[in-house]
Amino acid sequence: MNINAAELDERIIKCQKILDTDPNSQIFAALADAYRKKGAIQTALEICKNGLEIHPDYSSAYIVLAKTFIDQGNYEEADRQLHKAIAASGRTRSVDILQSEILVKLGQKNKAKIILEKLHKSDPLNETVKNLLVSIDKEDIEPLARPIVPQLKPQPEEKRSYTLSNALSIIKVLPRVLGVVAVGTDGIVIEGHFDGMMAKDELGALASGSFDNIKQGISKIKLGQPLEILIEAKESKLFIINRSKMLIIISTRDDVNLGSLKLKINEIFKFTDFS
Amino acid sequence: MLAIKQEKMENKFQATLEYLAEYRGVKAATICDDEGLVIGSIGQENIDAEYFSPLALLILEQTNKVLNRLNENPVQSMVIKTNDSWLTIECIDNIILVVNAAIETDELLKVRIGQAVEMIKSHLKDKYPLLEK
Repeated sequence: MNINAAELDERIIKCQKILDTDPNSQIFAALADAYRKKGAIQTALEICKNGLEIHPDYSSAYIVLAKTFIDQGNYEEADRQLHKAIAASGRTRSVDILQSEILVKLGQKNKAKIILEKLHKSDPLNETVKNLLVSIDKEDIEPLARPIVPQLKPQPEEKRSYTLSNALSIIKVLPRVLGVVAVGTDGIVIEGHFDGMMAKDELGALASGSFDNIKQGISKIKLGQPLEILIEAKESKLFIINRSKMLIIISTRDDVNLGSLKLKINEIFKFTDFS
Repeated sequence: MLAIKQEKMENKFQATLEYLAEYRGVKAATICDDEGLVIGSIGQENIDAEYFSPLALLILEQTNKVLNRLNENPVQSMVIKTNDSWLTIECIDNIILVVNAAIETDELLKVRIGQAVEMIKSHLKDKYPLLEK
């Protein structure tokens, strides 16, 4: 998602306000990430390190720290921080992608390629993965032949099928989507992809609670079972979709094109295995 | 005759509800204030449109609590789609508009609801200018 300077400033103010109200908030990771995106690397590093003293197991903060070290060109330290994130919360697709980027920078292209090929197999449409694979192949096969632009061979149309994790990753990178969470009927987050602006567990629990309340209210006047809920606030939108045994909660900016978003989500869900 | 016509014209809220109800698929519509007092309602014979006022208040209250916890602004609009209905709740200052339509209703209902919201806003601005935030 491309964010302009004004939006970053707005995000910094918002996060700082939350952090001032509650110095123990995990919002510090989002604040550090906003500073990183603005190019204020030292500030981002300081905020992250201070926050991690209070929340030493907060994996998102290690990810921000890793990204900050990448921006600084310190790939060894980025790799160390990413391992801490993995130790705290395990692997996700975004962690795998970040790790392969670091490995490429560290010259360990074979390791990176193994990770990327696995990612490509499970999600052949992911542009970031495709580009990274192309960049590795390009350097391996044609180290001197720079002017030749590598092109992906047209592939026979594959039968698309997404796991829940793939589907959420794709939704997360759609324009103006801030985050996406899958929550079970018990309110427990199954999987989530967020920039760190919100605590996904909190969002999952609150949104599923809200969904249950609406379901109860609606059933009292016999309006049927809710399938979709769209909540529009001044600066954001929350889209809750009821899918078999789970709720998919999508948080977006207020200027999102809802029609286009819905079409894309329906298209993705058509090929998603929710079992 | 002229008096009746004038009275009807002046009751802009009712005119808004009638404008909504004439759209194919709309089953009921209600306008209430933020305390649940029904200002006007319209609905098919088998539907008591006044039921929607407490339901909308309940939903808005609970959803606003969630948004507040997430540091977001209060609800401006909500759309709930069920397997047989489509419920829209619009907050316009301290007025709430609730529209219930059949799920088969085409998406252009949103445009009609948008126009109804503008009618209510304009009526509030003309009649109660001090309410403007």
